[in-house]
Amino acid sequence: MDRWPFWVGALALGAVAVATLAATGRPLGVSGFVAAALGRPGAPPRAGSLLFLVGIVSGGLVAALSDAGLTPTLVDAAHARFFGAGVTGALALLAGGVLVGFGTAWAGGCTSGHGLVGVSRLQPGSLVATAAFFGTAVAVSFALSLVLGGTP
Amino acid sequence: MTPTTLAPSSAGPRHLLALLLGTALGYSLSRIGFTDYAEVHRMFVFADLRLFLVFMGAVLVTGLGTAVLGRWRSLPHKRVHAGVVVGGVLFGLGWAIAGACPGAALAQLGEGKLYALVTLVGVALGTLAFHALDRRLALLRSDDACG
Repeated sequence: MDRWPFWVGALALGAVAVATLAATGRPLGVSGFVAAALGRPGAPPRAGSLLFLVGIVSGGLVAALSDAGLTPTLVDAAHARFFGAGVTGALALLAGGVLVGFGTAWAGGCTSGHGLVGVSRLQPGSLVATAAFFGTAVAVSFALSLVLGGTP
Repeated sequence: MTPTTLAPSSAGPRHLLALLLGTALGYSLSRIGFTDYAEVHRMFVFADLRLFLVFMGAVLVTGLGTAVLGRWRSLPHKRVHAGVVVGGVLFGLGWAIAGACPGAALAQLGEGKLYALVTLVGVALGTLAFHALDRRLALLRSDDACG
């Protein structure tokens, strides 16, 4: 896919975060929307959160259709280089996903809620969480490159 | 400054807005490259700093916009607790392995990257598992504010 220069991406992401706050009154936070769409303990699933998530999927679809077109793929070549294309690759995605879900629920935020909105407001919990997840991802990615070989 | 919100009060427009805002986010994540395992990996090993620059720029824009809306101080406080450290570490581990944060995994699916379904099943299971545990062990208490 044709990539935006960094400043266009920065403006677009920032604009979405600010527009979400202005238009809904709620701060952007995708992992929080996931939790709300699934139904937090003692609360019914929230339709607005679910629709926001459906919107993210539609956005990816629009990006593909307006670029090279939609070509469904079952395997990511770079991911498969590290984890394999078959069962091992799928297990890595599943385990990674479980860690992402469990970790963001425990931390009370992900890249958007903590990393973007929380850090932009210099919230102590968000600064610590962002240092923890970025730092860990950096360390683990260097380890993957060293142990499994190369950078895709 | 007084807090500003343009939030519609009836469900129809609210739901349409949520759908449109989500679409803008998914489109942006795809065009930025946050949905590409190789690009995300290159960011984490500092082989390509573009995604880092996007993120830092987006933080600045968000901070400015939030201040202009008069919400910089009034949004929920994010305090430090054990979960932001341990949960953050688990999330970072998962992001490096699966190559996607929750929003990126959804946008991947829209791009036709069908393997993202596996990641998303994992994200849902992990979220539900935490909430099930959280109900039994109050010591895992996380901030209930939107994340």
